[in-house]
Amino acid sequence: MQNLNKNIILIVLFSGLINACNFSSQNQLPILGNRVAEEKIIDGKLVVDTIYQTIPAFSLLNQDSIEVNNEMLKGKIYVADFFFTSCPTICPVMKKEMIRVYEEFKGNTQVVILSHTIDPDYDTLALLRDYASRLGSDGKQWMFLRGDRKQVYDLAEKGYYASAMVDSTEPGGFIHSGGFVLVDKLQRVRGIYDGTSTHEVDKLMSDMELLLKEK
Amino acid sequence: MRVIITFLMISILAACMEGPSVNMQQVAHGQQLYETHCANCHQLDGKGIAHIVPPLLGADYIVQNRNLLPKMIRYGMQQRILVNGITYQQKMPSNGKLTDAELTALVNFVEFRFAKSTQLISADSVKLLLNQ
Repeated sequence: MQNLNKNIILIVLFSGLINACNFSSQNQLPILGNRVAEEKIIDGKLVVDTIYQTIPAFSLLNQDSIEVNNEMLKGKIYVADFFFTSCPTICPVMKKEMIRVYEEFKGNTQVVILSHTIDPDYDTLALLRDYASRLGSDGKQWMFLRGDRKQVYDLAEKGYYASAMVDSTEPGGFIHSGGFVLVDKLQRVRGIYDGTSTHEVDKLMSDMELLLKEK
Repeated sequence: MRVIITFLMISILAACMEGPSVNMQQVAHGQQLYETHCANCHQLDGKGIAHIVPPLLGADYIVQNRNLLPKMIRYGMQQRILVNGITYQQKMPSNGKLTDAELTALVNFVEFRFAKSTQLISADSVKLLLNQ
């Protein structure tokens, strides 16, 4: 009888441990991108450290002609997307969904939204300023960024795993992915969500809450 | 025989009472077309998007510019418009592949659903308006 009790206690403890593991993995977002193991000497000891891929250095202007770069975003989480104002296909839906994200985290100084135009020829800063105010953005928490076409396309591809290119056969003249990319306080990509899907954007918002709790 | 005659009379009476105003079959066809070609921007509920895409639901512009709708849908729109007191300047793309019959169904759906109109526009009228 004593053995039976001991076994029951062990089973309860073991299942508790498994649950704890599951709980912790459910509450931790994956870190996307390449990783490199690097040897470091800490306190005289050789330690293997994992270096994760981060957003490459960038410098772009926002709709109010203010420079936005990586340095300003340190310690904040942000959502990035790629669009163009004259887009007749997925952008309107993406913007409707981004309004939901903006409204949900409005006033939270740890959250930023960066919408990058992929058509800098047509989307002038003045046009982006008007577009931002039409969407109800304050221009500070949700910014609309413009830069050299090559810089933005490279940033999309190499930094945010998004595609952006000129394609005259596409409606509007460009092809791009409709992803919303979630970036953490250390500028590592932690999730990519379909910006045209209400269900996926709901998931993004709950993941943002998780990410905000990370130190 | 009497049953058949009575049934026929009721059917004819019911058809007459329904009147020629709204053809629900055409409205249903228009709804399918709306969902494919328009709802992405104007949304399923016709409320548009912020101050970027104008609403269709309760839009004064539709009531005041009924005759412009067929051309506007087929050829798109480049200029600014004022809808319910707000100026919109987003370009509306053209829909050149829609046939005259599809355009008629679409206009009738938009007017019936969003402008509460029960007056149908005929395919002939749509043709005339397109050629104006």
